[in-house]
Amino acid sequence: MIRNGSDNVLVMRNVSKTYKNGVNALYNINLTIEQGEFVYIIGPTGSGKSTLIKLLDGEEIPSKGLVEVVGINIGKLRHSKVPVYRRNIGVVFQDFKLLEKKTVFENVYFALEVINMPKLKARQRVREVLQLVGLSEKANSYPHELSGGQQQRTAIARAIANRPKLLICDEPTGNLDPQKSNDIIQLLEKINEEEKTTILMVTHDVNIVNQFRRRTIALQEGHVVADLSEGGYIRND
Amino acid sequence: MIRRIGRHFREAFHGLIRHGAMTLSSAAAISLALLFVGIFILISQNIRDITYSIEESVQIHVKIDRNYETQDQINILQIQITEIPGIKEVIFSSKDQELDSLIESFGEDGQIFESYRGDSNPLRHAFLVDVIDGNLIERVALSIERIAGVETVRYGGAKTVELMNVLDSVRNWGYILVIGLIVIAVFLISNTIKLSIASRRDEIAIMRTVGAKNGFIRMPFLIEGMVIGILGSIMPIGITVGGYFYLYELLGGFLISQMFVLHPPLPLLYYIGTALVILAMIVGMMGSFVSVTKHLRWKR
Repeated sequence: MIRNGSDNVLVMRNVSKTYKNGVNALYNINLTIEQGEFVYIIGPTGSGKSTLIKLLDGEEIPSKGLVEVVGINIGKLRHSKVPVYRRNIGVVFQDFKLLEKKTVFENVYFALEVINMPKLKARQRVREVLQLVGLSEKANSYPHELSGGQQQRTAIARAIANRPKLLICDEPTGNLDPQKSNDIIQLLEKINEEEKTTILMVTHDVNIVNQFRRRTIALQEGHVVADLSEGGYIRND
Repeated sequence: MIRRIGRHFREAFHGLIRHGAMTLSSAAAISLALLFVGIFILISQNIRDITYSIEESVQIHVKIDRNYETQDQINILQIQITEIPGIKEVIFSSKDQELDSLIESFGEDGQIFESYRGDSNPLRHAFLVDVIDGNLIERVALSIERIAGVETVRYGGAKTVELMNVLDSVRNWGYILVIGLIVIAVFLISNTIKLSIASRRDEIAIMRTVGAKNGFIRMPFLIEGMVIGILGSIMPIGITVGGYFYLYELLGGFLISQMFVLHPPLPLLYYIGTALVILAMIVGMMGSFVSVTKHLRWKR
């Protein structure tokens, strides 16, 4: 892997994104996230959060400016290199995206199998991450036998199985009740601590942001309107 | 990718069974196309054989004018004829030799011509001209006719050569038909694979999120297409091989007359069988490649 000298996992410099249909999603974003940080991105619908995630996972390229993740310039990433690049990042979705016909174990194993990790090593790692997310007992259960919180834990286990440098969580608590949401955040904090994974969590859950204070970046209509290292929600209405 | 070959095959067979009806219909499409391919190979092989043996027997007979009978003149004529493009061999046949072959061609009764031997021989010196390709015979004959000192030019078998040319063009149209059928087969297979892709849409999405390479994602689908191809090749191979053996036995190795010797079934049928299986696999993989590649294309 190419490192850019510093400990920055993510660097965005003067990044703008305009879609082909003329919609402007992001304006002149400047952002640096260091290795090991836990960062919230908040903002209302249409503020550019989804576009930001798409820039990070290589699905979109910036119209202007530089996006660099783990030292890799996304704008210059060739299509054929995107899959290997993605092994550096884990993504957790609001709707879990588990495979219903596979058990918890198989769901996590699948992510390692398809990137060709040797079998024994993969099995070992699956057991490890299931232990970490507290689902060892549920390894042979199917997703429909689990609660929402447990399903999200499975998805998180899958996302971190390959030890990504950066874990992107896209509204991970959007489908969960407050208690389960808190559990998930605590789990993410644990992962942040134990696995040294940098976490970028997109949310619009004010309670979480206020309760678990972390660096918070607020987006509005494509602009960064606040970047508070002490955390907490900023009212500007 | 090779390490997971077992997985790829397992996934491929799941797909094949999940869309059994589509699998069979695309295999049938391949079958039809390959059946024609097999038949056309057999026909064209035999046409080539027969054309070849006819061409072997086709010769241009050039009679030399009575005023050009000195050795020098004959030599010059021979050089002139040899220089025409498409000539394989020019053999001089003296009056005596011409009489010999005349006598021979009449068999027992030929002896009566013996009285012409010597100075009273009314026959002409001649050249026997072989051409490289039977198709050239008419053109070569015309060129020879224009040379001063040539009295007449005759050649046999022209009608047969013409017939072979007709068969040849029939065969070419046949190939166009085969290409059309193969395109249809590729299209049908790519549709079958599209279904397979659709039913695994979620899996593919996750594979892409976690960074599976395109080749890895594509592999089970390529195998699926290949197996469809192999399934489709069974029937046409059976019919071509069995049918030709049967026909060959039935006709005793000849078509109509002794002049048309059929190509022996072996090893030709081995080659055809191998060719059909390989073609089927290629067609199957092509169909599936089209679909998967379209699905995996990044749009950004």
